[in-house]
Amino acid sequence: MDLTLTTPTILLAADFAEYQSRAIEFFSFKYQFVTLALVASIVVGALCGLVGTFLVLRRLSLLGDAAGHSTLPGLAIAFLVVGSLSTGALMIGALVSSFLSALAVGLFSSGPRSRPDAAIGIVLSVFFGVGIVLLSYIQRVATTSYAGLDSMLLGNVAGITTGQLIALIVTAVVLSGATLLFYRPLSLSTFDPEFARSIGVPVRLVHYSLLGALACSVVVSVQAVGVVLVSAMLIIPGASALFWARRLPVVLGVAVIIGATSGMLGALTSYVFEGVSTGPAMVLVASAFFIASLVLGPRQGVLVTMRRAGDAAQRGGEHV
Amino acid sequence: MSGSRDQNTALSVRGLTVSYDRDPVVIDVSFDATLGKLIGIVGPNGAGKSTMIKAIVGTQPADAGEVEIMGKSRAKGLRRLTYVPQRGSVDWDFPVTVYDVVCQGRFGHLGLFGRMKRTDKQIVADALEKVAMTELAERQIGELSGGQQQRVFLARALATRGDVYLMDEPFAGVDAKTEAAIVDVLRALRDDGKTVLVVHHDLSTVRDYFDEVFLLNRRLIAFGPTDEVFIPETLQRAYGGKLATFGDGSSALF
Repeated sequence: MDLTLTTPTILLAADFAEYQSRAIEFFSFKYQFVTLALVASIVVGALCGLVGTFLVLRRLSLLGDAAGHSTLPGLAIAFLVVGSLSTGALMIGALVSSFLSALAVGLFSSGPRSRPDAAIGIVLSVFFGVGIVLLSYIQRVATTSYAGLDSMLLGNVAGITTGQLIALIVTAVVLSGATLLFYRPLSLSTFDPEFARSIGVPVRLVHYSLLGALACSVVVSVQAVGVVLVSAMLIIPGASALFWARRLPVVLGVAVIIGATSGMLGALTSYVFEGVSTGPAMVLVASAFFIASLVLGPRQGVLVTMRRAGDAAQRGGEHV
Repeated sequence: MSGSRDQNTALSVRGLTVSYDRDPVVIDVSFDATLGKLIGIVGPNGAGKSTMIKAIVGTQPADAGEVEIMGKSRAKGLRRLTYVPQRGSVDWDFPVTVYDVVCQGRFGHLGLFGRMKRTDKQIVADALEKVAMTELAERQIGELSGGQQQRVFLARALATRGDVYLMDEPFAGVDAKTEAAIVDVLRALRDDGKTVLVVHHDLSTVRDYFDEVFLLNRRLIAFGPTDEVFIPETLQRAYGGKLATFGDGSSALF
C-alpha cells in the first residue's frame, strides 16, 4: 500500500525538478534560439494586444479570426510556388490571402440581404478549408522539408527565423508609431464615426488602414501563435483590459502588458513542457488573465457588481 | 447664384436628393437658413429628417445637391458646421470620460497633431459649465443617465464653437429637466447669432421652442416662421390623414 502511494509522488517530484531546471534554463539566455523565442513571444503578445483592442472596440473581433485562419492557403501556396520555406515568400503569401479574405468579408457584408457575421463565418471556413487541403497535399508530395509549415497551424516560436523576428519587430514599431501619430482620428472614428466624418476625418480610410494593420500583425505573429489561435491573442488582451480602465490610452497600455506577459509565460510554458505548442500555451495564459479581469476588474467585474448590488439592497432595506 | 442670397444666410442647400438602395428618401430639397434662428425640422416617421441632416453634414452620401456653409463650399466651411448625432449612434460603454468627449469638439480646429492649448481647455470647461456637467467630467460616459449623456453631446457641440448646428433628436429619451436645460442652451446659441436646426418629434412643443419650422416629408413641404408654417393646412400636407387638427389650432397625431 505504501508503495502504490509513494511511487507517483516520487515521479512528480522528479518531474518538478526537471521542470524547474528547464524554467531556469529558459531565463538563463544560454541558448540564442531561446532568447529569440522569448523576444518574439513578448513582441507578438504586445502587438496583438494593441491592434486587437481596436478590433474589440469596433466589434470586429471575429474579423481577427478570419484574418488568422485565412493566412493558411497563402502560406501553402507560397511554399508550393517557391518550393522551400523562404520567410519572404511565406509572408507575402500569408499577407495576400489574409487581405483577400478581409476584402471578401467586406464585399459579402455590403451586399443586400447579407449579414457580416455570416460573411465572416463563410470566408473563414472556406479559406481555412482550402489551406488544410493544400497542406495535406504538400504532406503527400513534398520532397523538401515542410516541417516548418506544419508548425504554422498551432505555432512554434522556437522555430522563428531571424528574418521573421526582424519583420515582427519592424511591424510592431511601425504600428505603435502609427497608433501614437494617428491616435485622434483612430480613437474618434472608433467611438463616434458619424461625428468623426462630420469634422472631416476620413473614416473609411481609417477603417481600411486598420484592416491592413490587422493583416500585417497576423502575418508576423503566426510563426509564434499559429493561424488557428492568433485571433485569441488579438481579442483576449483587449477584452480583459476593458475591465480595468475607463480611458482608452490606459486600456491600450493594459492590453499591451497582458499580451506581452501572456506571450512570455506562454513561451516559457511551452519550453518547460516539451511538446506543448506555443500558441495554445499563450492563449491559456491569456485566458487566465481574462478570467481574473472578469472577476476582479473594477469596471463591471463580477465582484464589484455583486458588491454594488449588495450595497444597493442594504440601502433599500434601511429605507424600509 | 451667390448674389441671390443675402449676408445673413448661414446654410444654403440646393437640390439635395438622397436615396437608400434605389429608394429616394429625400427628394430635391432646397432652402436657405438664416443666422440667429432656432429651427425645428418636423415631419412624420420615415420622412427623411435624419437622412437629410446627415447628407448636409456629409456622413451620408447624396445623389445630388449643393451645400454651402457661411457662403463657402462644404469642404471649406466644415469647421463652421457642428453635427450632433443621435445618442443611440455611439457605444456608451466605450472607455472614454465626459471630459475626453467634450475635448473631441476641439479636434476639428486642432487637426491631427495640434495640442490642446489653454484657450481650448477654457472652451471645454465653459462648455461643461453651460450644460452643468463640470462635476461629472471625470466619469466614464457609460455611468451617466440618458439625459446626462445628451448633455455631454451638447457640450461637445458647444466646444466646436461653430456657426451652424445640426442636431438629430436631442430630446429623445431625456427627462423633462434636461429637456428644459437643453432648450435654454439652444436659445442662448440662437441669441448669440448662431443657426440651430433640430430634428424634433414632439409636435406639442414646436410652437414654444422654435422660431421657424421646416416641414419635411421626403420633399420640403414648407419652411418659414412658426406662425405661418405650423398651421393645420401644411401639417395636413406633411402628415397626411394621420393628423387630426382641432379648432383651436392644436393638433394630435394618430
